[in-house]
This record gives sequence, C-alpha cells and structure tokens, in this order.
Amino acid sequence: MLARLAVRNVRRSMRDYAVYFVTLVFGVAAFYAFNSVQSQSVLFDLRGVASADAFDLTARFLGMFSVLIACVLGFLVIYANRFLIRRRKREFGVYLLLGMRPAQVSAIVLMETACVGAASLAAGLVLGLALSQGLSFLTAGLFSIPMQQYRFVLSAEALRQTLLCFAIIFAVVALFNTLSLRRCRLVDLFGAAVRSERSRIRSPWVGLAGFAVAVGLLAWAYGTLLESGLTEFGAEFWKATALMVAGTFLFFWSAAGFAVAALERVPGVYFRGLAMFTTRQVASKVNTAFLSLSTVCVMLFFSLAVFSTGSGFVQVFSDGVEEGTLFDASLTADVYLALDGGDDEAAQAVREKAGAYGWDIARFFDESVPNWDEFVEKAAQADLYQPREGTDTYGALMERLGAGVDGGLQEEALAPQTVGVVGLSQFNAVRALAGRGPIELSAGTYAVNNAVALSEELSRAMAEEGVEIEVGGRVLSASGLYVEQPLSTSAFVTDGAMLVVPDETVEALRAAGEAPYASYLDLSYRTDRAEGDRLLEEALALALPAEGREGAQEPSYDRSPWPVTATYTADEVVEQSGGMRMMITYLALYIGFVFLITTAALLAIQQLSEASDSLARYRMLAEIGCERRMMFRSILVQVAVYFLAPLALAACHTACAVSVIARDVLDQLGVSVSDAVAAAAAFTALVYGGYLLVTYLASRGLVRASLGRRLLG
Amino acid sequence: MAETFATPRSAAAQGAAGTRPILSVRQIEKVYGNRDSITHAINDISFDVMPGEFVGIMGPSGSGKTTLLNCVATIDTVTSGHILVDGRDITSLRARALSRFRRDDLGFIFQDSNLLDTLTGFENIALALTIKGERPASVRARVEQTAAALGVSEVLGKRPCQMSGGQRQRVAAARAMVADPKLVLADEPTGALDSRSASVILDTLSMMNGRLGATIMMVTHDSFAASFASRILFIKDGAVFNEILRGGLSRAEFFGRIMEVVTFLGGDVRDAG
Repeated sequence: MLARLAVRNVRRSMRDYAVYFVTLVFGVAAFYAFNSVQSQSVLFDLRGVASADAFDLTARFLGMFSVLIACVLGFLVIYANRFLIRRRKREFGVYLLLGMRPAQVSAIVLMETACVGAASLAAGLVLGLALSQGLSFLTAGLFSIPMQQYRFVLSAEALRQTLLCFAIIFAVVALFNTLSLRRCRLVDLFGAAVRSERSRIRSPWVGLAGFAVAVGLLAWAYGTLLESGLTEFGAEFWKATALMVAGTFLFFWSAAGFAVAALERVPGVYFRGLAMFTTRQVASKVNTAFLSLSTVCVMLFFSLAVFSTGSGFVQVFSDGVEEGTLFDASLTADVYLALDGGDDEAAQAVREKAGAYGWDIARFFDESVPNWDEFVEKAAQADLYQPREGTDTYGALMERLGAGVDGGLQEEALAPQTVGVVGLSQFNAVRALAGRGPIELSAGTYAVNNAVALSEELSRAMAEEGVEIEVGGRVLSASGLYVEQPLSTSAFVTDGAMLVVPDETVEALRAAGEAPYASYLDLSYRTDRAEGDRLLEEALALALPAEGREGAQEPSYDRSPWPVTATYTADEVVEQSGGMRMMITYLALYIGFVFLITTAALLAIQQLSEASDSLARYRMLAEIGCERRMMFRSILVQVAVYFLAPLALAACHTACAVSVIARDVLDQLGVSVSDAVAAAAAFTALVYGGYLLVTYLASRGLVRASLGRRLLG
Repeated sequence: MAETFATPRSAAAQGAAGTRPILSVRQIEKVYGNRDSITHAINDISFDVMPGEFVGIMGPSGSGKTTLLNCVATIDTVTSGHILVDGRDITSLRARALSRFRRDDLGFIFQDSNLLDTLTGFENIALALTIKGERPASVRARVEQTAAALGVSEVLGKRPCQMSGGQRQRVAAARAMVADPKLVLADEPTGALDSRSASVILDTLSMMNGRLGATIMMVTHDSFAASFASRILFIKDGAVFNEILRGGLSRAEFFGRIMEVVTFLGGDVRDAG
C-alpha cells in the first residue's frame, strides 16, 4: 500500500524530479566510465611496462578524484532532496493528519528515494557502459596505438565502486529525510505552506559599498595572480585564492542590492513591462541564495579552468616527445648525488670507481657485459661540469646581461649555481648520434646550448658576441653560436643555458680535480627498440646486480651515482607521454564534466522551485491582465540571469587564471591554449545552455499548467 | 414586507436614464459537473451596472456570488448568457484578448490584497501601468497622484510585509485605480481585516466611487461592508433574490435595511432546510 503511494508520488512529481534524475544519471555514468578506465587496458597490446603503469597511475588518480566527485554528487543529491522534501511538507502533513504514523511517512519517502535512486543508478550504469566503450577509442587515440580487437568491456571493479558509492549516498539521504521528518511537528508541516516573506533586503548603500569592495577584492586577487604567476603554490597563490573566494562571495552578497539600486534610477528601463517584477524576483532569489551562487561560481571556475588548460597540458606531452626521444636510450649518472652529498667517503668511492674507467660509462659496460657490442651500435657520452672555482654563476650572468629566466622560482634556484659546461668533442659526438652535423669553435671561445624554452632569453644573451664568461679560472668569449641540442632521451628536456667549450678547457678542469656533476650515455641499438630495451635491461642487471633487492620490481639493477642512476628509453618516454596525456585528459573531462552538470543542476533545481513558489505571483499578474508573452519573457530573463551571472564571473576568473597559466607554463613550452579555450567554451555552452533551456521550458510549463489557458491567454 | 422586498428591476435604468450601462449581465448561467451530477452555480442572473455606481453583491456562502464575480472578471467562463462591458461582449472574447481586457478595462481588489511581496508599494501600483505599456516617464507621477488620493503615500517605499492589512488593501485599491479602469471589481475586500481597517478601506472605496468616479462592483457577505454601496443585489442559490437601493438613506439606515434582508434570507434558508 505504502509502496503504491510512493511509486505514484514519484510518477506524479516527475517534473520536479526530471532535472535531478537526469543529472544523477549523468553523474553515475561519468563515475562508472572513468573508474572503468583501468579495465580497458585489456583492449590494447601494451608494449611496455610504462604503458601499464600509465593505466595504473591514471586509474589511481581517477580513483582519488572519484572521492571528491562522490562528495560533490552526494552534496547535490542531498541538496536536491531537501528541496523536494521541503516543498512537500504540506502533503506529509496531510498523511499525518489522516492518521499515518511518522514511521510510515518516512517509509514512503524512503521508498521514493530508493525508487528514484535505483532508476537513476540503472539508467546511469547503462549510459556509463556505453560511455566507457567510447572512452576506449579515446584512449587508443591518446596513446596513438591501435586497438587490437574491439570487444565489450565490463569493469566489475568500477561497477562495484559505483554501486557502493551511490548506495552510501542514498543511505545518507534516507537518513537525512527520516530525521528531518521525525523532527517535524504537524503545525510546522502546515506552516510550511505559508510563504516566507523574510527575504532580506539590504540598503542600496550597503549594496553599493559591498559591490565596490567585491570588485576591489577581485581586482586585487587578479593583480596578485598576474604578478606572482602560477609556477609556485606559495603564499601569494593562496592569498590570491582567498581574495578570489572572498571577492566572489561578497560579489553575490551585494550584487542584487546594487543592481536594484542602479536599475531603479533608470525609469526608462525599470518602468517598462515586467522589468520591476523581474528585477525583484532575481534580486530576492540572489539575496537568499548568494551562498550557493558563490559556490556554484567557484565550481564553474574550476570546471572551466580544468577544461581549458587540460588540453594545453596534453599538448605539452605530445610536443616534447620528438625532441626528448632523439636517442634509443640514455643512461644518466648523477654524480653530484655523491659529490655534493656531504659524505666524503661516498664521494671518494665514486671518484675511485669512475676513475678506474676514466669516467667512461661505455667502457664500464664493455668490460662487464659480454654482448654489449652486439646490441649497442653506437654510444656517445656527454659529461657536464659545473666548476666550483673561478666560474661565473648564473646569478652573476643574469645581473650582468640584464636577462632573466621567467618565473621567480627557477631564477632563485639557478642564481647560485655556476655555469654548466660540456666539452666540444663530446657535444659533437652526441649531435652525430642524433644525426646532426658538428659545430666548430676556435680556441678561447664558447657556444651556448639551450633546449629549454624557459631559459632561452638568458641563453641568447649569453651567446651574443662580445660576452665573456669565466670558466675554471679562464675567461672565454662568446663565438656567437647558439644551438638547441637535447643531450639525452627524457620525458622533459632539461638541458638549458649551457656552454659548449673547447676540449682544452675541459681537460684543464679535469686536471684541476673537477669531476662531472652528471654524465649521459646515449645509445643507439642495432636491434629494434623493444628488443634493445629488453637487452639493455638484461645488461644492466648483469653489470650492476641489485644485491639483496631481488624482490623489488624496479629497477632490476643497482642504481648508484656512477655509472647509472637512471635510464630512459625512447619507448618509455613515448609511452609515458601517452600515459600523461591520458591521465590529464581524463581528469580534466571527469572533473570538468561532473562539476559542470552538478552546478547546472543545482541552479536548475533552485530556479524550478522558485518558479513553483512564485506561481501565486504569476497568477496575480495574469489576473491584472499581464500578457502571456510578457510573463514568459520575464521567466526567461530570470532563468538566464540566474544561470549566466555565476558563469560570467567564473569566466572572468578563468580568463585571469588561464592567461597566467598560459603565460607562465604553456607559452614557455610553446603551447597555445586558444583552441582549448574555444573547445571548452563550446562544450560548456552546450551542457550549461542545455540546462538553462530545459529549466526555462520547465518553468514555463509549470506556470502554464497552473494558470490554465483562460488566465494565461 | 412586500414593499421592502420588492425587486425594483427598473430602478437602475431609471436612475441613469439615457446613459449606457458599463456592465450588462444578461441571463448568464454557470453549470459545473458532469453527466451524473450537475451543479447550477448561477441560474439565470441579469442586471446592469451604470457608470459611477457602487454595486454590492451579497449572499451566503455557496450562493454563487464569487462565481458571478469571476465570470465578470473573465477568470471563469459562463455556460450560457452574455456579459457586456461598455457594450462589448466579453463572453465571446478569445483567450488572448481576455488578458488585454482585464488589463485595460478592469481593476481588481482581492480579499488577501494579492500584492507582490517582493515589490514595494510603489512598484505594486506602478505594475498596473507598466504592463499596459504606459510611457515610463509618466509612471511616477501617476502612481504618486493615485497614492495621494488613497492616502498611501507614506507606505510607497515599504514592502507588503512591512504594511498593515489596511494599508495593503488600500495599496491594492490604488493599483486597481491607477490605470483608470472602466470597472473596479472587489472580492470581499474587508474579509481579512479587523473592523477598523475595514472601515478605512470601505471609506476609501466610497471615496473612489464618489470623488474619483470609479464604477465599483463589490462582492461581500458582510452587511456592514455592503452598507457603503449605493445598490445591493442579493443572490441566493444562483439567482438574484432581491435588490435594494440606498437612495437618500444614511449609511446607518441603509445598514438596517440590509440587515432586514439578510435576516429574511437566513430565515428562508433555514425554512427551506
């Protein structure tokens, strides 16, 4: 009996539930689809460990953010539910009056919640399954690897997570409802129908002052952000964030009062049609809901920023790949770990070990691995020095040349370091391995090698003829040559603002007891890359047995400051960048999409309930002869303003943040965000605009149904 | 007795010979229900209201007086018969023309004042003008003029929730008056008021009728309220049962006459029951 009543109630209030239901379906679908990413790996022939790792990492990150997403969706469900319950208090009052026990009323509500929950969960999962199949194709695109053979993938794990998560959400909702109904007394339930008229009005002067302060705060926030940049998350960043949040809050707190005060003074606008009514409607709604509007604005900002920068970052990982994979593989020896570690014994051990091989990594492997020459066709080593004595520091150069490195943090870190140098013949050997011609230097001169966008300004200044730099007690002059040559294979090229010096200079440094702070050994295989990577791994394990660490998965060799601290192979880098692309794309889509639909649904629910609370007002307007067209236009304006105000402010925030990110990060890496911003704007317009339109049509439908043809005309 | 309760059908016509009635209700009938159960809410009612008249419609609950008002207000439809306002038959108007008719020709005063709670008194009154497309420049002056005439100038800046019930009702009256309607319809305007506020709003209606020349049709079940009218139609069981004119009587004397009819009506109902 109660169940029949519950089902009937749900069916009858379909209109109220529709927006909420659809959003829930989208939310469930996104939740399932993104959590099922890991299981898609069965579709692909993952050539290396790195790709499998990328799937794991992406899945882990998505899982982590799923907690946040679950909280956001949970908040939406609870909020929407509270709204729907509050509007039905009178109905519950009637049930109680008819002699139903409170437990029975709670049971009805519980069954309704379960009904809507189960339906949305089922629909959402079906949609999610479809969506996750689509994501597989996206994954294939991001990894730029073909799908072996398409088949339908159902992720039991994601299914379990989704069911669990939403079961918890609905359980919490049920608890909330039961509690709120238990607490109610009959008189309150009936009193709920009386319209609350305590919508606060603020004096126009308070509104004006608040608005001015809000605009000031936002300007301050933007200024702080533009000045300090987004390369570090220091005090300035948090200050800007706090200012932005406070400014947003105050903006919505004061905007309505300010807007009314301003509009009232323009009779030509205010005394036209329903302008007064529309203004007051929006103002009273904004005044009571400024808290949720500011929250919506901040969430929208997040969503827009994530959308528009996400694909920029994806490009970073696509563009860097070519320059980062010039060599089949690179072994890196981070000698400085031992030399600068402060541990004299370790430093001495490395000096002795490396000294025994003349600091030649290839010789070490030649002697310890029998089949080294069989798979390594060519090798080139580059030793990088930062002489301690008699050498200019980057700080001194920046000051002398008046050129800086963009971004405060890098400048600070770079300033105390002495200039990095590499010998000419080694440099040319590396170039030869990359298939590029050699450079020439006359005695006593240097060339500048820089492959990092960040330090281009400084490097070009250093390369200008006439500049003189002291290296190891000798003064070298610029040859005017500037080259961009990555010295090793890696995900991010880090070789910047480095001097290429004649071999004599390096020999003199060696003679003076200087050791390289890092060495690269770049390899080219005789075999294909996959086979080469396998043989290299074997060789490393053979030459540098990982003692007592057999159980550990990676690395399979003993890492040390010399001869090998880390290895990067071209295949790995390609796979990693694919993985990063996948991770960033998915995170951006996931967070951006869920935030967007949640905020839009929140606004839609508020506006729909506003429309239904205002039915008496529309009835009155119709009775005194207001035309239908006029009323519908007023509804459209109300909905549009309510939707677009937070969006507009969020767009301002986004413009500021994205321009800073673009300036500080993406432009440095040579990536433009304009396409991404356009795509984000289009997507937002589509989703958000869809919600706006549906809300308008539904509000209009409510008024139409309530007033009837006779009154509405 | 017979003299007191005679129905002087020609009284109104005699009173304003030569002028056309502003409202002319012709044999209207209103039937609710379906095949199985039919309710005759209005059963053949006809009357005229001349320009400048203040007509009261009285009757017990369920007599059909509110249905009558709603039909005249075009909020409800008649089953048969015609209602002419200023010579135009409003029962044949199409849906869209109806709202224009209400906007241009009618003014409403409801029992619960029905002001928009989000708007100030000034804005509530101005609304009647702006939805008509009145020139924005002249809105302020017209609202202030009407408000002054109805004694609500000091509450123009307040919102309905900050006004007393009487003030709200007078603001509603100002809204009904400001656009110069041909006919003002008042539905139990004192229903929700205490007796002092009720007197004030009734004085206001009399003033609107006397000084501003408004034609008013007021539905009420309150004899005291009815005594402010110049003519009263008594409705019972969906038909005009009696009609009395104030003529030269003082309000107190007229009130006495009304009470007699009401007592008779009540007794009749009891007898019939």
